[in-house]
Parts: sequence; C-alpha cells; structure tokens
Amino acid sequence: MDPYLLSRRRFIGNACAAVGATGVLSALAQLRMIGAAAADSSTSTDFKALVCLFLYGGNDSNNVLIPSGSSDYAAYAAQRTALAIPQSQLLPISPKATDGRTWGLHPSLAEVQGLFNGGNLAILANTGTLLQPVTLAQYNSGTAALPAQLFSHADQQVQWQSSIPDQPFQTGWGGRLADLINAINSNPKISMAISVAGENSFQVGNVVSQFAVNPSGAVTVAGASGGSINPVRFAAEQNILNQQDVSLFQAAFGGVTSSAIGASTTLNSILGGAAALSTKFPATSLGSQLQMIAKLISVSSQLGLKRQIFFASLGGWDLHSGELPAHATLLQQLSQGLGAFYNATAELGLSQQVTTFTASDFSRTFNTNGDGSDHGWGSHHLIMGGAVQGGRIYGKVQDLTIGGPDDTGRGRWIPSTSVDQYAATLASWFGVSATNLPVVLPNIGRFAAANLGFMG
Amino acid sequence: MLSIPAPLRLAAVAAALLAEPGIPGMRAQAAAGGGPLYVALLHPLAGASSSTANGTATIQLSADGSSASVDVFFANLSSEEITAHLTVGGTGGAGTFVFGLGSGQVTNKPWTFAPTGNFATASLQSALASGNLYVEIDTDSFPSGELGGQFLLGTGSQTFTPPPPPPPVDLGVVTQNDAARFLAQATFGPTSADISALMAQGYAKWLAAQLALPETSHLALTRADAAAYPNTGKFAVVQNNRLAAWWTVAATAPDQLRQRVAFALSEIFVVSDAASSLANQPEALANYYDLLAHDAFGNFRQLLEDVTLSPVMGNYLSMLRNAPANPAKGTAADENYAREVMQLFTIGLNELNPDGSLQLDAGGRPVATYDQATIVQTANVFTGWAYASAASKPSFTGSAADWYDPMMLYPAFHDNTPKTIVNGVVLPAGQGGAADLKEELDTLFNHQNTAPFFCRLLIQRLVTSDPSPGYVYRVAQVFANDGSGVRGDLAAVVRAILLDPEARSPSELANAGFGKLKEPLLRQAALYRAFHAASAEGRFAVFNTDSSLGQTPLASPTVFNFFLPNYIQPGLLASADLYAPEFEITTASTAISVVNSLHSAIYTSSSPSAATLVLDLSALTGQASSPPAMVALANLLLCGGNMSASTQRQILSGLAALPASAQPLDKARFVLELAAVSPDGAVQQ
Repeated sequence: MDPYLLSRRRFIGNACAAVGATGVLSALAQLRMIGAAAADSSTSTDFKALVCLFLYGGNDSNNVLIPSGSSDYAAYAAQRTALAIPQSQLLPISPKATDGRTWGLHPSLAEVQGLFNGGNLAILANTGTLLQPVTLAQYNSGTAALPAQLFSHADQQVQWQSSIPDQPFQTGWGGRLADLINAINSNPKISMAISVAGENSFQVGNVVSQFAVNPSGAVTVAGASGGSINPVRFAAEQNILNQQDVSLFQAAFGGVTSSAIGASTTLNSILGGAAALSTKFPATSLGSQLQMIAKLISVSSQLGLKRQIFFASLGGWDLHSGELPAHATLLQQLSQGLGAFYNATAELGLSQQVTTFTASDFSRTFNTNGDGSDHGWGSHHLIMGGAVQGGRIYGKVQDLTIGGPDDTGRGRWIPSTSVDQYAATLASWFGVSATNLPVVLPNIGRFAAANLGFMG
Repeated sequence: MLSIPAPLRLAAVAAALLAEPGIPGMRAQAAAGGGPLYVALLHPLAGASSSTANGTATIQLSADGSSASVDVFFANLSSEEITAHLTVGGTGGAGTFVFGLGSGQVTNKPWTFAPTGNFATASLQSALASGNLYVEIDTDSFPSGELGGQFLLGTGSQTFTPPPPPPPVDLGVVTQNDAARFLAQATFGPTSADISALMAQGYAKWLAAQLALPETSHLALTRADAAAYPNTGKFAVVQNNRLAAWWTVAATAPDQLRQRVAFALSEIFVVSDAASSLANQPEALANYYDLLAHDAFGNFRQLLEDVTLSPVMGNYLSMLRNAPANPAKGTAADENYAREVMQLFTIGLNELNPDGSLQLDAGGRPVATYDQATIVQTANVFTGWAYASAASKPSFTGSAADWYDPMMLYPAFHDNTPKTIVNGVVLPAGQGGAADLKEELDTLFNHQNTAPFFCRLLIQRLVTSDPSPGYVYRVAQVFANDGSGVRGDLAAVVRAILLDPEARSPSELANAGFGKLKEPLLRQAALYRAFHAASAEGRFAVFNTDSSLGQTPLASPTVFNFFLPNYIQPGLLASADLYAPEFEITTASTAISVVNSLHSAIYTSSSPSAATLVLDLSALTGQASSPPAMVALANLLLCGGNMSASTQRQILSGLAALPASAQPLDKARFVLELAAVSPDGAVQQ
C-alpha cells in the first residue's frame, strides 16, 4: 500500500476528531490540510511524476495494435486495403491475458514491444471522449448524449485534456489533479505543472498554473546574455525594474516582472547543476522534450517538488494522405523516445515513480480515403512505467468490422472506455482517494469502473 | 448619516512607498457607528466560468477595528450551496480558511478578530487591509469554489453630495509632454508627427478633426487581406486575416481616436472567437468590431440596441433563437443575455451614486440592482429574435445564418406575458417583441446607474484604473446631458473623459495611484506606431498573440474580458485601495513573454521574408552621438515624457558602458528596449 494513502486516512481520522465537523471546511480546504500533513509526515521522501504525451492530430491507432491471427488479419487487411501493414512485419507481443485474439505491433514500435513484453508498458484499448456509455443503437437513433464536435481536432483535443466534454473549457484534469495534490509540495520553487511543449489545456488549474520550459531550459529574457552589449542592457533592465522612486503601478509591475525573471533564473541555475544522464535520447523534438523532463525529475528535490505533472507533445498525426511512411516515422520517434525515457528513469532509480501515458485527439477511420485516413473516435493508448501492470491489454478491443457492432461509420469506433476512466486510474495512482476522484473527474460516476487496473 | 469617503489620494509618491503595509494614513476615517466598510464584488471563480452566479459581500469594521460584521448576498448559484467562508491569500484552494460563514445568505454575522490557525489577530486585520482577504462560496457543482471575491475599501454613502469641482486646468497650451500623454490615452500610441499636429492644433481642433474622420473598416481590411493572402484550407477567410487587419488599423489607421474607443468598447461589450460558434466567423467578428467603431461617437442607446441585435452577440450570449418558456417541455427562456446586458453592459450589480460610489442602505450595506426574479422576467423580454431573413416564410430555428443584418423578430416566438423588469417597470402583456425590447433598452439606458457605471469602465480603458469619484461624476453628468439636452452622446463622453482635469493635469503625475498598466496589445501597438513598423509586402502579419502577449483582439476567454474591471492585485496596489485590471494577465509567463515580444520587434532586421515587420529607428540612430537626445525621444514616445530620473540615469550609464564598437543601431535598440520594458513604459500616466 502506498504509505501516502495510509497517512491520509490517519489524518482524516484525526481531523474529524479535532474539528468536530468536517462540514465547516470546504472540500478543497480539507484536502489542502491533508496534503500539508502528508508532506510533513514520515513519507516525505516519496516522489511521483505523471507525464502526459499528447499526439496532436489524431494517431491512427488501428495500425498500432494489429490483429495477427490469420482470419482476423485477413479481415483487417481487406478493410484497411492500402493502409494495411504486411502481416510478416508485425512485431509479436504476448499479453498475459487474452480475449482470444492475437496481436502484433506496428514494425516501428520495437522499443514499445520490448517494454510491453518486459511488463513495463500496458495498452489501453478503444478509449475516447464520452459523456456516458454509448451503444450503437443509441448512436444510430440519435438518442445518445454525445460530446460536442466529435471528429473536430480543436474540440477533441480540449475534451481529452479537460475530461469534461459537456462543459465549456475551464480547467484541465492535470490542472485539477495538481490543485488537489499541490499542498504536498511544501515549499516549491516553481510550479509542479511543467510543460515542455508550450501552453496546453491539460495543465490549466484553478490554483496551480502551468510553467512553460523549453527543451533547453526555462524561458528566459531574450537577449539577456552573449556579446558585449546584452549583459550591459540586462543589468540595466534589472536595475530599472527594481527601482523604488516610482508610482504604485510601476512598482507593482516591476516587482511582478523581477520575480518572474528570478524564477526563470533559479530554475536554470538548478538545471545547470544537474548531473548528466548517461542515457542517450534520440535527436528528435520528442527526444529533447523527454530528456528535459528526465532532467527536471532529477532535480525535483532541489525544486522542492514531490509531485510533478509534465506535458510533452508530438504533432503531425493528421495523416489524411501519405499516411504509411509518415506514420512509420512518427511511431518510430514515439517508440524511441519512450524507450530512452524509460531507461533514463531507471538510471535515476525512479522507474517505479514515473508513469507516462499517451493521449490524442482521436483515432482515425478504419477504411482509407486512398492513401490516408480521416478523423475517428475511440483509440488505443500506451501507459509506461515501472508501476504499470504491463504486458496486458486493458479495456475492450473493439470488433474491428466496418458496419459491425462498434462502428459508427467507416470504422469510427465507439469508445468502450472513457477518458475519465483512463484519467481516474492515473489520478488514483498519483494519490487521489476514491472519495476525491470526482473533484478531479466530475463525470467519473457515470462509468462503471473508476479504476481500470493498469496501475495495480 | 453614514458616509465612507473615497480613499484619500496620495499627495506624494514617497508617502506611499515609505508607509507601512496598509498605509494607515490613507484609510477612510471611521463612519458614524463603525469603522471602514470593505466591499467584495463576487464573480464566478476561475474553475466555474460556466457559472452565472453573482453577489456582493461586505465587512463593516467596528470603530476600534477589533471586530467586524460580515454580510454576504449571492444569487443564482448553479447548485446547492455547501458553505461560504473567508480565506486569506486566494480562493479555490489557494487560500487558507480563516472564518466559516455557514450556508445561506449572511446578514450581520459577527466576526471578532482572534488568532486563527497560523494567523495572528494583526495578520487578519492586515490581510483585510491589503486586499488579501477573500470570500468564497462552495457549491455541489463547484466544491472548490463557485463564487468569490476580494475585499477592498469601499466608497459609498446613504445620501449623495456632489464632489467639489477640481482646480481648473489650462487646456490652451499643449506642451510636447502633454501631447504625448494625451495621445497615449486617445490613440494606439503617439508618433512624432501626431505630437506636432496636436501641439499645433490644440485639443479641441484635434478632437474635432478625429471625430470627423471616415471610419476605417475592419471587415474591408479583413477581406482584402484574405484576397491578398489566399488560404489553402477549408475557409476562404480566417481569423488571421481579421488579426492582420486589426494590427494594420492599430498601427496605421488615421481615425485613431475612433479605433481606440472601439477597442475599449470591445473589452466591455465582449464577444470572442474562443466561442465555437464564432471560431470560424472572422468576417462577422470584423463586422461587429466595425459596429462598435461606428457607434463609438454616436448615442449609447443606439450602441446598446445595435449590440443587442447583432447576430454575433446573439450567438455569443445566446439571445439568438431564444424561445419563450414551454411549460409542457419544462423549458424556460434563456437568461444569458438578460443577465449580462445588465451586469456588464449597463447598470452593474449594485445601486450607484452619480459618482459611481455605492449607494448604501440604512444598515450601511450595498443595494442590489435586481434579483433573480428580475432576470427571469427580463429573459422573457429577449425572446423571439433570430437571423434576419427575406424569405416569404422565414423560420425562427431554420433561417440561414445572416451574420450582418440585425436579428429580426419572429413574433410567434416572443413571450407576450407581462413582465416586471429592473426598477419595477412593468411591460404590459401583448405589446409585442419590438415594444418590449424598446422599453427594456430605454429603461436600462435611463437607469440611474448606467451613466456612472459605463463612464467608469470607459475611463478605466482610456485613462486610469482608479478614477476619483469626482472624475466619474463629471463624465457621468455629460453622459446624462451633453449640454444640449441629449443623453448618451458618446462623442461628448469621450471628449469629457480626455479633457477632464484629472486626465490632463500634470499634477496628477505626482499622484502615486494615478494611471494604469498598459495591456500588452497596447504596448506592442505603441512601439509599432512610434517607430513606423512596416513589412516589405505591407502586411501586418501578427496573428494569435496569446502565448506572447497573453491576449488576442476579440479572443477573450470569457464574456468577462481578459481582465476584470475590479481585479485586485494583492500587495502594494491593494493596500492603497487601488483596482488594477491589467495585472490579471500579468503572470510569471507573460511578464517574460511580453518583454521578449517587444525585444523581438525591436531587434528584427529586414530579412529575405517580405512579411517581416521592421521598425524604422532612423530617428534614434540619427541622434546616436547624443545619448540624452536618444533617451529623450524614447521617453517622449513610449513613456509620455514621464520617464523617471533613475530610469534615465540607468539608460545613460548603460550607454556609456557600451564598447566603443557599438554602432548607432546598437545604441538605438539599447535605449528603445530599456524604455519599452521599463515600468515607465509599461504604465500609462
């Protein structure tokens, strides 16, 4: 059992006794007290990080997990036609449990194959945005409550990241998770929500704000150093921002700007002192992002952070044409990036404490438009880390038949698992109790299982 | 008589900075029967932006300051209330609980300051005085806070006494610095040519000339941009075309005063391309902006009607196709527009005195302008309107979208029951949708709050975040009567705002609380104007600036604009009882990204790309041998001639420390960047 959860229960017992009635405090105020107590308790050495890897554009996961049994493969090839991966190229996997079908991975996913077969990576099947479970009959009769703007990139990206598809965007589930857990970071130097891929919806919280970091370090004042002029100008700029004989608006403005520059400088100086990792990362955008995340994890104690939530991304998945070669390249970048990142966490001795998961707008149509595919719905995802109960396929892989029981048309699969359930399983591992899950995932009660089991 | 005077305005800068936190000297003196009144205007918290709740909370301190009486009035919560409580440091979990208020409306709840958690008695009192005390209401749907706000010293009274007139200011002479200051308020930023013209013409002629200029059309420029730079995607015209047009207008349009006021109006009568119904309607949004620009010098009543019937606003605040209640189906009329037209566009939540201060009841509490029952009735007023159609049998729900003509009435879909609206005005049954709408808008237009409420918002956008009650009063008087008996004459209102002694008197520069932080769009636009930014191809290819400037024109995240008019920045500004709207988007991220955006504009050289915007720095490089002259020019154009002596010293000593190899362009950029990022350049005074 996670010792953090143990101390949480003990605290609640004490709190009820001491306060007399919990109704006096709001839910979040209570949770903050609990978090603060946990941070002070004997569990102060624990650490956990959650990494969201968003595949912008809609990954065609129909070619990630591919049926390899002869009749299933034949049906796959007949329906995918030009997009079918040759049977001989599939990378075999051996799931610890099976629904009777056998599966192979896309040939670009060698590292993913190794992680899966080694028990450190799980696959979650046919997951997508849902307001509630939907059947094909409900879908076809127009009686299903559906997320707005299915098949639209912008809307589905936001809904995946908010996990509240029936509301205008307010906060992301990573942001709400950070709000809930943040008190455990007793004296953080920077936010626990760090993006290495720019602003995103996932990490928008009420309290915790996302802190953007470049793959090379904190965002700094441009032109602050280098050459003979920049240092003079930057020094003068700092003096000017800190001057005192100014109006209240000017003083307040100078203060905010100075402290922002200070936070950025602090982070870069801590990063500068980080021990080099011997793990080699691929020279790709994703590789650089994941390398920076590994580095930020390695200095988490200097940053005063016991919980970190990261956001990385890889774009280019919207392959309406020219799909096969482009998809192979992207999957290879994904696989190599994941492999290197797992090795880096192992090198840091933290593979059990770091969990990485993929997300994407949607999958794509099972049939082709010629040499590409169009926007779909439910998709398969990867969860990686030492704490993952890997080597298994979770959820329910759909019936891969166009016109079959899971198809809304062209192989736009009705998800059998919701983003809420996916997120709730990860949030539970991160330390959220069943009672508090609705604070992070307000719609979770609409789905049968709040824990899909892939985190044990 | 209970009377809470306005905070004393600072006579000298040093006084504020030397004083202890809380600046006791600035506090309003104890009113009869008690100490100062603190007021929190409640709004949906960040995590509850779908909420339509509102309310007001007050804390009336006792005469000796050792205890207080707390009131919380709220309405329209989304769901069952869990509890209300006072917190220090923030809301939604950022704050620390200090006092429980239970559930339900709170009336005269006694609160005796005593050590609470980690807070000593004095820290609680100081939190209240420094803008660090919050009220938060938690509900079932938003357990971490639906509604909340910060307390700030209130100004209000039970009976109103007109503020005394200010010392007159001689407007006959316009110095160079006067001109630069004025143009920072009245345009997207001064240029040397505009400064010279204004000095030569004087204020009155300059204003008259601006009022007479033809309007520059955002729609025409949006379409021209789309034609010149065809889009390869699904849509022929995209938001980027609209944004290129916006920057072209801000940087170069001759009708600067109209466009600056239109920008201000776009932050009051908010619509946004963040709404999915408007995301793919750049032309309609440009046309809406043109509507604001057109009405900017017209009558407020016309502006209100044009905004109300705009299909863009109709989409944004869902008055479009708003059908009457249907008891059989269990539906009610949509309350969205009814609420916002009152809360945000005309009268606000609390009754105001003619100077914008709160009108207080016999118990010393603010008085709500309307309740939920009024909203329900007003929602019925705004039923029956949908897209204009020339079809012989137009369809309320089916007519094709006409994004340009005002919405039209579909009489069969108007609620013809009688309605009691704000101020108890009764709209009789059966008079029809057009008459209902006319009476509703007339009532709002003539409401006692509208003049001070709207005038304060417009003053905040143009001149200063914290106008004195006297300033609001004088402008509101012009709103009420432009001198020839006309109410709502916006040209007269704009003139009154810009020519008021508080806007023009150089003595205001010594008031540490005068002025406003310039929002990032204005800082970047002012730089472009001052140094004639241009690209080889002539286009202003500046698009979504959310990640660099933290805002994009007509792309506010909510109807509450990028920042609230009553946003309170805890610390120095809150301790001085100052609202600071633009600070709401000044975060750890934007504080650096805005600096970098200005740096990038200044350091961009002409390049092979015809789209690159480059500044013309010849006016500075021409003075490279005279550092004081360079600093003076940057000071005039970016700091209104009001750069502090210490900033000037820092720039000059930096220049002196540059290597001998530094070229005139290096020196020009050095001076310009420091002026642009300095607090002197960031704050308009």
